[in-house]
Amino acid sequence: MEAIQAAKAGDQRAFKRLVEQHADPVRRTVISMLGEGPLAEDVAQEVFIRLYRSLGKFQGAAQLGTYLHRVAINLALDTIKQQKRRRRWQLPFGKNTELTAKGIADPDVQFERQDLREGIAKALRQLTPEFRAVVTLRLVQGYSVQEAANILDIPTGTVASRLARAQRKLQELLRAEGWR
Amino acid sequence: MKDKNYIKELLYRSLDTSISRKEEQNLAEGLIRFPELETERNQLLRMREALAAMKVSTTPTDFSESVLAKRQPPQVIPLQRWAPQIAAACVLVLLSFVLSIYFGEGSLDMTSVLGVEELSPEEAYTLLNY
Repeated sequence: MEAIQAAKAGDQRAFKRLVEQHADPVRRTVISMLGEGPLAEDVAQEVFIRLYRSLGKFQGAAQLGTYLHRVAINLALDTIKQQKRRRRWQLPFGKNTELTAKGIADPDVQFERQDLREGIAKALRQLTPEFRAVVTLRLVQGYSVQEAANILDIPTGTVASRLARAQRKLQELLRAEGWR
Repeated sequence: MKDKNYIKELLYRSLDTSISRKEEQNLAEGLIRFPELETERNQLLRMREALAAMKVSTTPTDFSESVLAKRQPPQVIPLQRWAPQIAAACVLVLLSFVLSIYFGEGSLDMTSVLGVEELSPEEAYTLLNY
């Protein structure tokens, strides 16, 4: 709360403290959506740049985490859309390498038999972006269904049904790779 | 006797939302009756545990510095920045031109705007040479 007030007043160190305090969870959300890589780092940084530009709107610290995750998810979804559009144009010209190089996982990638956690990270990136968003908020970040619904601005019933379908899909993907 | 699909739906719902005592009881009985759902439940729990424990690389030490360096709003090129003022000035000039004609000539018809009543080709030639 104090840090926000100080950052609003132009205290650069206070803003830096806010970034440091929230960098881990925000990066975790973005990486869960986009996979590790420079693109995810850029998007995570952009989340805080958006915060800086909207500091005036904040009343209290309680909504800051929610705001940051909402921006993180929306920016990640936009990035996925942009990448899909770019890929659609690049594919006919044989330029499909940039996506993986920039950090978006190739959905067709075959994952080898390996540790469940690594397998899950890869399976997660094979879900549709909408499913990935609910899994990220509810299961990776631990938000309640209600909180996830608030962040995504969709009804709780939609979150619950997407969650159930996403988990079934994840199980399918993992089973296909020999997970029992 | 509840069917398997109902128990499965209950199983998924129980993981993320609260279910009634009666539903809890139905789920417990269903998991005994359908051992494959009990296996699915265990897999789901392990999967959810792995998701909650998903590790990401540690935050780069220069992360906050990079944010501080980037946080300035994007530079707007001067023409874009002044575009509204330029547009307003153009409108003002045009308006004062029209008003001066109106107050000077008492109307805004074509003759008042052009300043001549008729312009024959010969007169136009003479004016251009002049």
